[in-house]
Amino acid sequence: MKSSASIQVRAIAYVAFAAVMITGCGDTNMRESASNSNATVRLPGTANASANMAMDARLAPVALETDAHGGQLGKAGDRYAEITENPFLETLRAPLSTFSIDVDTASYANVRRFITDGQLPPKDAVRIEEMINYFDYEYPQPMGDVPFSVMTETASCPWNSQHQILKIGLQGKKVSLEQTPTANLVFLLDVSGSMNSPDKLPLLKSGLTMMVDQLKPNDRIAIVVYAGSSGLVLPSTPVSRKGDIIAALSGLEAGGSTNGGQGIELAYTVAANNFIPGGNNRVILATDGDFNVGAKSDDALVDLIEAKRKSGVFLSVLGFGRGNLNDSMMEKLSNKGNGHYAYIDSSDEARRALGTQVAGTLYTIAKDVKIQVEFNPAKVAGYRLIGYENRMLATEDFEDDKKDAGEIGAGHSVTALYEIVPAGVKVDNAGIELKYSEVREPKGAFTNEMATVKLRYKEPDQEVSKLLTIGVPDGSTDIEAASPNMKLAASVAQFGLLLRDSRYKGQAAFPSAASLARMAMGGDVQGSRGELLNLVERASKLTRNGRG
Amino acid sequence: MKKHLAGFALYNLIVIVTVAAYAYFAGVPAYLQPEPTSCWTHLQNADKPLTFEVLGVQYDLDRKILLSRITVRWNGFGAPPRSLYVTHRTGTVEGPANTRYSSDNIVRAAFQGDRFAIIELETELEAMPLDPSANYYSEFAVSHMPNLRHGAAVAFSEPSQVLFSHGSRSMK
Repeated sequence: MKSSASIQVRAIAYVAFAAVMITGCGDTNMRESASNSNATVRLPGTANASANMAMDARLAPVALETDAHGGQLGKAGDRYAEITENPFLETLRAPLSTFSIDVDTASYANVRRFITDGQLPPKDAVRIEEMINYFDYEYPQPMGDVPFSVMTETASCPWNSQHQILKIGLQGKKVSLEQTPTANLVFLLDVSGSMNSPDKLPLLKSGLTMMVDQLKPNDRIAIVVYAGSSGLVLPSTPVSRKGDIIAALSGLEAGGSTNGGQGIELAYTVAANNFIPGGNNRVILATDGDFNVGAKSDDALVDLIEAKRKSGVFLSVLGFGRGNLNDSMMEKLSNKGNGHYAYIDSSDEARRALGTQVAGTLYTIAKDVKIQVEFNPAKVAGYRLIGYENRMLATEDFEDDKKDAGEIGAGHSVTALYEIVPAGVKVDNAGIELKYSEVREPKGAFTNEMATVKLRYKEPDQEVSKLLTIGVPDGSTDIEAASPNMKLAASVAQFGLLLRDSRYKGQAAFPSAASLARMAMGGDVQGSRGELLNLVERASKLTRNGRG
Repeated sequence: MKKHLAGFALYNLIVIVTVAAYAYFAGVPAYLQPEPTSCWTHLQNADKPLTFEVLGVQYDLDRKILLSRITVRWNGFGAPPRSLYVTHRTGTVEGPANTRYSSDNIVRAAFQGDRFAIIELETELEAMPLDPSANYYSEFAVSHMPNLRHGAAVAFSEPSQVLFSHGSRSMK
């Protein structure tokens, strides 16, 4: 009886399958259909928009609207620092690669905003390391008293069959807000006329309200605003008086021109007056980056922030809005202020940066984190660090504790990718023949290792660094057999190379990036991996349609 | 009329036989096949009652202690074992000359009623501390029976990298 029912079910399945075949729906279409049906995404500002079909249907009007605005997005007032991509280096000539970590995520949110609006981002808006670091890799938690774990993985390179990718992953210790030191926060809010837009001041207010909701009763918040002149809207107030803080936020209105310099000075004064020894003393600057500062130049502003960082007051930056975004300035300020730079393009992003990940945004678990990789010339002919162009350090900076580097927040993960040219393969743009000296040959020891990764970090309240080291064994797996995290990072890197139209993109292609993103989907509890897949597919269509 | 009906029936028969033959020989496309469920995984692992994955290995140079974290899953029938036996060998890529072997570490009540556990071990290497100028790799064996009993061959895991924490020896 049971087997007869089973036969019936199989027969029905075969007939259904035949119907599909007869109606001409081929293998490829079915595959796409099957994958599309899994792709439930959350675009900024939309609630669970599902499937590419729905997104594609909306794409045309969005693109038209953008065109009608005369290409204001990205082309009008947004300012990006020029990026010169890291070249391939020969291991025999430069065996050491040194850089500072970067936990900023702003570039991914900004790129998403462009693509969602039906436009490809400007090349210099694409900082590949920030795109990779936007995602939560959930590497294993650290052990003992080390604040972050370190792991490496090697796989074949999806955009160059002769190369490999080395992934270095750091996972910061997760800390609940209850365990964090008492916070002395000063919100420094831009309320100039340019903030008078639904995606700026209203989003800023709702985001900060979310943050306030999560803080401890004994944490303190002050609000400084700046426009034509700066002013203290709310003196340092304990979160136990949450009603007063939210009322002050609600009452903010945009108007006037910006004088960021004065506002920053006032914010630091308020932070210093309420300084909590051993606490989390931080200014949180929220702006669209329109720093048409009066007497204070950009360099003077950066100097001020560096000086205040040394006094124990850190700076985090939240970017809002479009058309006027001073992305390069905001990134520079957060770098110098030992803080994190996030771009808030939607209420979903506000919920992520100021809600679920607020501990990482607010609480630094290790500062001045530097990475130095020594490659083994017996195994690696050359290498290229993907991204981190403005985080490169000189070899000697690794040992120099006076040299500033990036911070890692509670629960943050940091991922760096190297494109590896294995020994025996020609290195692109190899160095020229030397006239006066010889390139040194490998020692011949540890021949089964590809590299040694060294890391230095300082405890948040210390000035002397600690050293971690880990070896990377030789050998790599095929990218298809690699971990979901490796596939995800490779997909994002490939996507970034394509958006940048990088000279190092090799055979990178949108379908390959999409395929890797699909394979990396896993549980995708937050929906961010599904969102990546849809962005890759939309960018592919925009490229074909020539919407650069 | 009968001829038409017979022709239609014959047509249907040909279609069904063709499709059935295609499905039989070509198989159901991989993307239509269901993902293996945890139940299936469980059955696959029936011959491996205990599976484990090494999450991290770290050496504290100041304390001369090797820390390791391992996830363990009991796939066997019946209740999980009360004790687990964990042993490891740690060495460089240069071969066995520098290898340190641990004795069996007994982890009691690891599962605490569940079929999944995370165990953390601290192994003292005071007598043979690791050399900070080299990189080390650890291989583990986890069993519900003593690993080293009767000198039998121990099935070790793939090597895991050891993260060196240099502590007070961080500066030159």
